[in-house]
Amino acid sequence: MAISEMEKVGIIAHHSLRKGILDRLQDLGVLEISEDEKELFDEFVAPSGELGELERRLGELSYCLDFIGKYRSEKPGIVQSLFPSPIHMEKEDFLNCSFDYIPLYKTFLGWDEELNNIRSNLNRLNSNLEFMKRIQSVKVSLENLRGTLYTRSFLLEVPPEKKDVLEEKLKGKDLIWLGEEFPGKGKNTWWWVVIHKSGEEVMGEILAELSLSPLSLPHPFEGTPQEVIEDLEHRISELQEEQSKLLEKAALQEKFEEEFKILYDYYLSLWERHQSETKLLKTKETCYISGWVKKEDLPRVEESLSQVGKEWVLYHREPEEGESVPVVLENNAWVNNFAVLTHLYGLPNYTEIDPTPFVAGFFFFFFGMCLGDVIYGLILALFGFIAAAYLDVSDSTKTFMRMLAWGGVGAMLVGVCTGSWLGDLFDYLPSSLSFLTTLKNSLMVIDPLNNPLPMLIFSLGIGIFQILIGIMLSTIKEWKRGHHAVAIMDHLSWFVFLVAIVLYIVGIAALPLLASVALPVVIGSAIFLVATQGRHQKNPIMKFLSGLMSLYGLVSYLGDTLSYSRLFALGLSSTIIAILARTLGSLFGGYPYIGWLLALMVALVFHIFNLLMSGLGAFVHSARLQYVEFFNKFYEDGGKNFKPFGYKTKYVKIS
Amino acid sequence: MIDGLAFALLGSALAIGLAGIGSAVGVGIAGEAGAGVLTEDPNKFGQILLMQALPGTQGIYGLLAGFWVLIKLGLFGGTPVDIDPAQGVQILFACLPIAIVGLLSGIFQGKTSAASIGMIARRPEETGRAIILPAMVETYAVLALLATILLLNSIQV
Repeated sequence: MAISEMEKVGIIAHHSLRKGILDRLQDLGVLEISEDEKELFDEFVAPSGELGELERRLGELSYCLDFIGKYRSEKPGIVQSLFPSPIHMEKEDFLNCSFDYIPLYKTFLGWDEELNNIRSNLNRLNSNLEFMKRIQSVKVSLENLRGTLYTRSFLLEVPPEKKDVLEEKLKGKDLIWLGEEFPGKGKNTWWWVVIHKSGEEVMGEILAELSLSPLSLPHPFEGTPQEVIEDLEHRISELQEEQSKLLEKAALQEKFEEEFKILYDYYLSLWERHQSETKLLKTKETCYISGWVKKEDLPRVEESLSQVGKEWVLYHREPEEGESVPVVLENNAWVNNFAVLTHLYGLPNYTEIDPTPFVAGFFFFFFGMCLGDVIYGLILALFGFIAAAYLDVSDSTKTFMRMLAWGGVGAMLVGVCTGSWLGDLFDYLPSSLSFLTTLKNSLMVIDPLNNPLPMLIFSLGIGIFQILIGIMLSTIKEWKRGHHAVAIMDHLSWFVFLVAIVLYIVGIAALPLLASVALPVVIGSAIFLVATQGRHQKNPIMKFLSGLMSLYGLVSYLGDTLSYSRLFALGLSSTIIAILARTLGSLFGGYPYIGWLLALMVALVFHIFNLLMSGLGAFVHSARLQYVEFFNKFYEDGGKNFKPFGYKTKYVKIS
Repeated sequence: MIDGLAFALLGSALAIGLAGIGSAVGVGIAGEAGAGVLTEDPNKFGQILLMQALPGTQGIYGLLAGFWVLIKLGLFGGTPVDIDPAQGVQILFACLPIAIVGLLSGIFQGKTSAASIGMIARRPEETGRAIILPAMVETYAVLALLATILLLNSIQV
């Protein structure tokens, strides 16, 4: 139920044992190698040449995996890509994995290049084809456009309004020319004009005057446009055939994906080992491994070292103040389902309180209040527990699913109390099922639909409860650290003050006797706060004033408490949308024959939508209440996660 | 003479319409940012979708408030209640908190979501915090919904 106790470990060993020790440590996976004691020895172990080699191989392997992913025939479904299932392997098989990927890698490279070439050729041919289609009607061999010793040729796209003008101008000048006309796009025509080269300048002037520009070919084509088009189409279809053959072959490589993944992880683990080696310090004859290990795992480290040889020394000590100690949260199985919430916010410092047990309880209940419906909760719980048990996904995904499932259980509990079973559906059951309606009504404690105030007050009450727990935790924390004055004056006094205020308000509302008892405590603790909160000031007037000002902190506690009203609002919201689903569905129920089906479908769509959105809201707002309202009372994050040296894998799960 | 019902329906329509606009704009803003990130990294689809859905709640709150008005007036399957203009205006005013706050908070939550999506793109390990930031904006929509529900509940028809 807390943060695991860590020990700082130092191992000094002869160089001959280095590899063996590192192998054992990686196998154990309980020690995080740190490099924070550089001052002890002269220098780090030099990075081995293999590190670069491994990085190169990892790069090549991830290229291969990308290649397979790019050309695979079946893309993975949404579920598979969101929750990829790991490859299960025995440790021995993993460590002995052998797969010569180089030939495949080279083939892939070749294919990639070929495919790229084909793609760029296809692009070029297609743009030529498009160009040719513009002048398809021109029945002139294109090599004629290049001109001869005495002639120059032009291919002009002439809009209808310029046609006569052009002809007139050509005739009017002293030009030897020959023209032929072909149909173009729309009303435009293509003019093929051949002139004697002496008329080149005059022709240029005419074209400039009419702002016509002769067509220039992107490529020296031969033959008429029609012939060129046929040739291009032929070449394109050839290339496409080649491309699809290659793509087919590439798609077949999917069968090697698992091998590539395993090998990738294998090299990743090797890389991790060589990388860790560079964190070691060395002298001429020895190397020094320093790191963190959980106190309970210490004997296992010593035992496995003794299997390597005798030339080593291990010493260990408790963490010193100010050291940055990696953090592991250890809680019972139920609380552990909610540890992800603490991780999301940021781990506590090593010397802090682990908030997870409190977060677990509150989140469970808050999520339940926000979703607040028996059937929704049941669906979520069933889905979560079954998915966690049977889906082949990573452990962290499983934990997350179990957390949602427990939230669903919370929603069932709250839903029973508020009488929300798919909204008010159970009030409209056929008479044969009326016992369910009776059951629902007999279990209902509070009816937030018709009488919202009690539920609102309950939400605020839960909020005050959580805030008080938070203040109490910080009191305990400060007391344990020996800051007794701070604990009493800054935290416990507020605790008493707030409790007294709540009791006084309850007293005024219901029990006059309680109010008369609570009032002196309210006044007393307020005076105590005024007297103590200004203690850092020197000037006595300032002492009093800043003490008085501190009572203003009550406003922030009030704001925090009101924030918990969201529990009520969100719970009510999911119930009302569920009622909306039922009401809208029943509007369609009256149609003949398929009315019931329409009603069911409309209701189902709304219910699914509501479950998803309310579930999202329940998660986000329950988490927010922990982070913003609860944590700011006592919690300091900034701890770093414990990352023991082991087999770091991306795809494989080693058993 | 104007029936009270018209005012009440105006309130219902404003709640559903304005809060819906707020969510639509918000989800749109977040979606634009999300699509940008997804072109770079399609694997983040799950997280991005979550972030885009966050500003969608205002529309639901508005729908809920509007629906509550219809239920209260017995327009859904019950016997329609006669209300006088004063009651109608009361209902209209009761709908305003979620209508106005839904509209504006939806838009601002969308902007925060878009920023958080950028944060997820650069630092995927911070997804938890990135989700909380837009949720801070939503608080005020929840409070407005609460106000609307309590106000509606206090009007006798």
